[in-house]
Amino acid sequence: MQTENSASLYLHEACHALDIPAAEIIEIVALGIVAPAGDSPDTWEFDLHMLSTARRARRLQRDLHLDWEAVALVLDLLHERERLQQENTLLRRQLQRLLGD
Amino acid sequence: MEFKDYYTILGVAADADLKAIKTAYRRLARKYHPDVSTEKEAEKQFKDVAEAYEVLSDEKKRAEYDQLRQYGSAGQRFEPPPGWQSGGAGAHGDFSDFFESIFGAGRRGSAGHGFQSSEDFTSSRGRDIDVEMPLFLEDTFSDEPRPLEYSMPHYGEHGRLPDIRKTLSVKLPPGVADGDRIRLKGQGGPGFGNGPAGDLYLHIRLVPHPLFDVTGHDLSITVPVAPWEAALGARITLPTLTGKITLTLAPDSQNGQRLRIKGKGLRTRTGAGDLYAVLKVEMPASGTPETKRLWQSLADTAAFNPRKHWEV
Repeated sequence: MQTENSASLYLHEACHALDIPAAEIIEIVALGIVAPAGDSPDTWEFDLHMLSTARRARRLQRDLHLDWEAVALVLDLLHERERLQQENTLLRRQLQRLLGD
Repeated sequence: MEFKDYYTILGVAADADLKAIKTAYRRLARKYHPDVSTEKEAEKQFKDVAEAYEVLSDEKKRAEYDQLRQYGSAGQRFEPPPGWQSGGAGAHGDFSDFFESIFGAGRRGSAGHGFQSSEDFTSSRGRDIDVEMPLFLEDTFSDEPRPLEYSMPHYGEHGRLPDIRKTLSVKLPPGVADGDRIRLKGQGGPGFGNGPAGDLYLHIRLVPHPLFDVTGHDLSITVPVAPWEAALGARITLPTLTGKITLTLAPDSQNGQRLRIKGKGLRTRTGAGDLYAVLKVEMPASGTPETKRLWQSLADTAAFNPRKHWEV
């Protein structure tokens, strides 16, 4: 079947997709956890990376009983950790190719 | 099914008070939360921990569980006593067969404590499903739809049934990169009551390639060369994802030098990234008396001290 990659969502669509009330999404944006294009909630457009981040934020907030500020910090750290892990993996592989362990 | 010892799972004594149970849950939830954890099988552990907390933090459920615990122990086969009826309200969420057999699924009831709570059972959105989709680098050049198999939760009248295996044929947009997410609307878990189905999220993962390393849409390949090839220059046949090409080495090339080959990287939406050839000068393992003579001649002739800057 042909499946369409739905590239961006408006606020109400994001609410449905994430099962999060609009008020919480607005808070997530206010904290800078995600930064949708657009000047106001009516015009906000969320891409899939933002959706995924928002979902992650919601799960952390709910499962670990964190406040949103803490969630924002945790996500920043997780993002940085992932970046470093990827970089680390790549560098190790390149090093192995060059030095031939 | 197997008996689950919730006290062991949380690492608390059987007479632990609510405070101790809560603390244990919080510590373990942090440790195994799939969004945070680097532990193996974190997701499964987290589910166990959350389920244990769901039961032990609820007075009624804990009492019922304690009763049953007299008859079973961890790891053993378990069946609830015939005619067993849970007195407490059920819970809505993703729980094990063991839990369902005691507390029943699909019953409208109290919201769970901090795990998968849903106030309105009669009509809610189905679960979103995350699936990793591994791709070989070569696959990103093909527009052929790709098969995708995944497990979908299945609910009957009385609760959760075994997952169904579903197959979809997915056409990926051109230029997918590692880590990209693709949303397939309505292909997730079935909705409850009149609720809509959840979504399926594909998480693209590029499988490591024996020759090429990936950075975004660029590729790099390590090219072993002989010392004389680096010194004199050479024409080298290079494999790429779209066929062989010839790489021209200039004379006096260096170990570690990067040569950029435009357009031979991974496919992007509008074209392709670049391929970087990284030179690796390799020494032959041994030689003949003749090659030794030639090396010595080179040593005597070439004025080259790689340790000049050491000043020793």
